[in-house]
Amino acid sequence: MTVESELSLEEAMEELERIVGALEAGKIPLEESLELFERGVRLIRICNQRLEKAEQRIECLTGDLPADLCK
Amino acid sequence: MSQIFTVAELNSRIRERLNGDPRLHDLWARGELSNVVNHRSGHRYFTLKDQDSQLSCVLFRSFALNLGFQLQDGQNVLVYGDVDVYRPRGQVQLVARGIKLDDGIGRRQRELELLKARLAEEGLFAAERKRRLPAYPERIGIVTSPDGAALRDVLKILGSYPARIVLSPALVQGENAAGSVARALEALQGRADVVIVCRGGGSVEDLWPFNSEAVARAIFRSDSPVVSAIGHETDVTIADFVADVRAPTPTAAAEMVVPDLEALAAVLRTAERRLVRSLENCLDRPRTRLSYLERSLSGRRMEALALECRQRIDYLGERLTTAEEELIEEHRRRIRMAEGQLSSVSPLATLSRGYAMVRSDDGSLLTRAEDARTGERILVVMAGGRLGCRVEDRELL
Repeated sequence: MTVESELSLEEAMEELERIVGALEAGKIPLEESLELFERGVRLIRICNQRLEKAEQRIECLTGDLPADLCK
Repeated sequence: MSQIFTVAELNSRIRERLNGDPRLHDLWARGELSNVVNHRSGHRYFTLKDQDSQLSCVLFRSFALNLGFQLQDGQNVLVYGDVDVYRPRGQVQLVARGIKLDDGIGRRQRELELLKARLAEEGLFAAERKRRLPAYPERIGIVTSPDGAALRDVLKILGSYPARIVLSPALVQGENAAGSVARALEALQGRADVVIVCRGGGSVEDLWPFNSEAVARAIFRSDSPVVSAIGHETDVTIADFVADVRAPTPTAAAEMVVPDLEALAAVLRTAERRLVRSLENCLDRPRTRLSYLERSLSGRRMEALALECRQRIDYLGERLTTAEEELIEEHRRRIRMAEGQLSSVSPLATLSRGYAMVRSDDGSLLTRAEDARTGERILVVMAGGRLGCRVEDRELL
């Protein structure tokens, strides 16, 4: 399993969805359920961290970025 | 109070102004003819109009003679001349020196239809090839004018969504725009997960570069999905047909390309709740079972079980004792029986009945008369003792 911090937002969201689905189906033994739960919580934390970073990163392929867009 | 003009002076001023502007002289204007008046003086008066505006025009007799065709309402024309003010009426007008029929629009439309048909046949507009936009793009490419409002509208909507925004600047109108947009799209190859091509509203002329083959092919070749947002909602260009998705405005394009951050945050909050709830449910089952088992294992029950066991032990103990005794008794009986049997075949019983046992001197048993020799010493064992004897004579039977 990849370390959460190395997952892209898309991968994290997809894995989270799978985990929630699996736990809700209720067919997983208790010990594994606990592990999945912890993984799910870590994924949620990573996603929130990514979304809360309020920085717009913009680069210009040719020429200069207009002045009003440079922060 | 500053100078008070007469009307004539005012109109003269205006005229002077207009005459002094070189851009208003020797110009071409395009429009549609209306209110054509063929005056008996030979001069032609008409209004030149388009969607947004109109202007009074005059074609003087000398020029009208060279016209070569009849002016009629509704004709699309190109007019060559100068802007002037007819002072007596204070009317701005276009003084025409030449007029030609404009099939430009007509011709352009025809060419556009041909191009559309050709590209459609090649499959550039095919619905099957339209790609889905990535749900969580990491790199967003934008092809647009770096100074335009469209770019700023898009950036506002993209907000703080965590993706790298790659601006590939281009001219979005004028004769160099088609090539510029095509090159800007090519520059984004391998650099974006989704591309927005956009520009703000404008005239058909302004948007024309987006009807070009160059732009269409560049969009078609793009390695990531393209969202087109050209002009206003009602403006449609070939670029819109080729794009994977058409957005009515640059703002709408940006909204299509990134997920709503608020919605995402809500999804994450819900996910957390669902995780906790399903874990609780997971734990509930063993908990219920545990308390059931707990009840089953209560003290009283244990006592009852213990008592049961004890009783069983006692019962088994009794049975064991009885069995033991019976076994011993059985043995005794068998011993007695054996004893009885034994004594009945015991030589001692035989002896007590009067028989005697004869042994030779060396102790071995003599069972046949012929085994004894006369004169030999023999031992006669009888009930109650033994007799030492000598054989006097022998008689064989």
